Amino acid sequence: MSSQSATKARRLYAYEVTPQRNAKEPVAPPGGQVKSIGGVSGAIDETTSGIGAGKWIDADLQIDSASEDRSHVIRNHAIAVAFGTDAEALDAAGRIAQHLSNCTDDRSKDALLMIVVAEDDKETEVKLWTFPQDSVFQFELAVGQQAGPSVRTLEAFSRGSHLRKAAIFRGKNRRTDFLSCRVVDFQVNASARAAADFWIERFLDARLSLGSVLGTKLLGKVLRETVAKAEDADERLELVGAAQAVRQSNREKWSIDSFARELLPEPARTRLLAHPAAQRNGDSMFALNRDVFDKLINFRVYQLDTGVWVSAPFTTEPKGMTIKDDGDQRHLTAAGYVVSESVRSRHA
Amino acid sequence: MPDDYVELKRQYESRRAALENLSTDLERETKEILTDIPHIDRIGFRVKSPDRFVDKVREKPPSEAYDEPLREVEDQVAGRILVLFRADLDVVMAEIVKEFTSVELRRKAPPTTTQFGYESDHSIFTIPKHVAPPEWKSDASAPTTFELQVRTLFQHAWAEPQHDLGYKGTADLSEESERELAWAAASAWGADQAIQRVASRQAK
Repeated sequence: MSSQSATKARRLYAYEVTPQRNAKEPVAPPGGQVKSIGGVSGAIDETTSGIGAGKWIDADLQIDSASEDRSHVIRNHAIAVAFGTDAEALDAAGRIAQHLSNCTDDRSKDALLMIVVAEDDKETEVKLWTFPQDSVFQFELAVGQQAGPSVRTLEAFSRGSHLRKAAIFRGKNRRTDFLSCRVVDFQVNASARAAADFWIERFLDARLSLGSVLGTKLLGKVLRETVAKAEDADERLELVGAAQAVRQSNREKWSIDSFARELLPEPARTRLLAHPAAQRNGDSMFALNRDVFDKLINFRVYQLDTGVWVSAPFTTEPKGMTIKDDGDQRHLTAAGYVVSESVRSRHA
Repeated sequence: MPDDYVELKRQYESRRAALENLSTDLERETKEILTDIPHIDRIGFRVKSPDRFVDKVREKPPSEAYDEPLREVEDQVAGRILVLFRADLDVVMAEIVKEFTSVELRRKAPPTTTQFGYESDHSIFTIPKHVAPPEWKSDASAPTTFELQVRTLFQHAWAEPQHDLGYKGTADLSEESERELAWAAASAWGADQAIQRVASRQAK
């Protein structure tokens, strides 16, 4: 959030949230308004600013589009916390905590929910942070005693946990604001769907700002154009291999940056990230649509009865290759000059 | 024009280039979303002209006045999709909402079944972050939404000329003009129904 000006905390709420997704009669999470907010809000600011620029995810709330007031479970409460009276804000904060508790199942540990309302001269910011419980040691060296150091085990809420999550809203109390948020969720790519969808979809009732089809088409376009500019056949093969890998991956959510950094070696990585669309939207996350991706990549691999494999990715009409119907079989002919030769374990 | 509106117009004009880029990107993406959808006559986006922007702000009743028009006017960038058949309205919107996040979906129609007049699907969507101009990330006055209308050709055929006539309400019209516009709207509605029935029979 480095692009935003410094904000001053005005309200802070804290709740211990216990999983109650399957509870028949959920109880209100204990907590409320924190009166002394200086040190804690500073720690929240530090945690927020410690999240790298590429780690934030843009998400749009799934507003009830038939409602007159753009109603949404989190938006309504976030606005009340930010702009309501003290009593309304406290009630709304408790409802956010209750909603989080009701969304959390028994696979999760208890968590600390912190809600911070801060403002600058332009807008109000509502930060929702949740920190999971963790077992920690406390080491103490007593001065002037002979007993030596003492170590205690404690249950605490971890600011550095990989499972911490955040959502930040900015704006004023008006129809056009608090419709989107910026999110921190390191589990968004978890293989377990429940974990991957927990924060953005289930709790925030939001979705990635970049749609699945548009994001997939963007990656396909960047990939095709990078293949066309590849320096040599090896680089082209690396790009094709990465396209196959992303297609076969169990992971649902990708960005152009994550595709390049996780699947491409140099110099293909740098070349792909230099594409104007990657420069502008490299960190925009989207859910890969495999059907759309297949059409864009047009990756076909033919196994011939002679033991030869022929692959022709990124082209709809490969030059020098024809396929003719020959009775019940199809006959493939490919002709061209060999420009490179390598020993590979896959048909790319 | 009062100084406030002159300044507002100047501010709006200063972001015109960014709005034009956004409009181009949204049109391209809308076309991509609807690539495989049949019966689409045309897709177009436009940026609201500075004069119309100021008029919209000025004409707002005092009780509904904008605090920050540069943020709150939601059709600074707006798109329109024209479809051939009435049944396509829902098909198109279903595809659009898969990719763009809606905050308002309204089917505009006359208030009673015995009236004929303006009909169109109006929707408001959140501007996706990846097409928002980069300088808007730290601009608290930048718009967050855009408008999209979906209508049939016959709905459009009635709406455009009557909009061009420029009257401010039925009070401005003679009884004869009012009746003739209603007749034209009823004819457009009837033509839509007839064409849809033929299309449905052909599809069987």
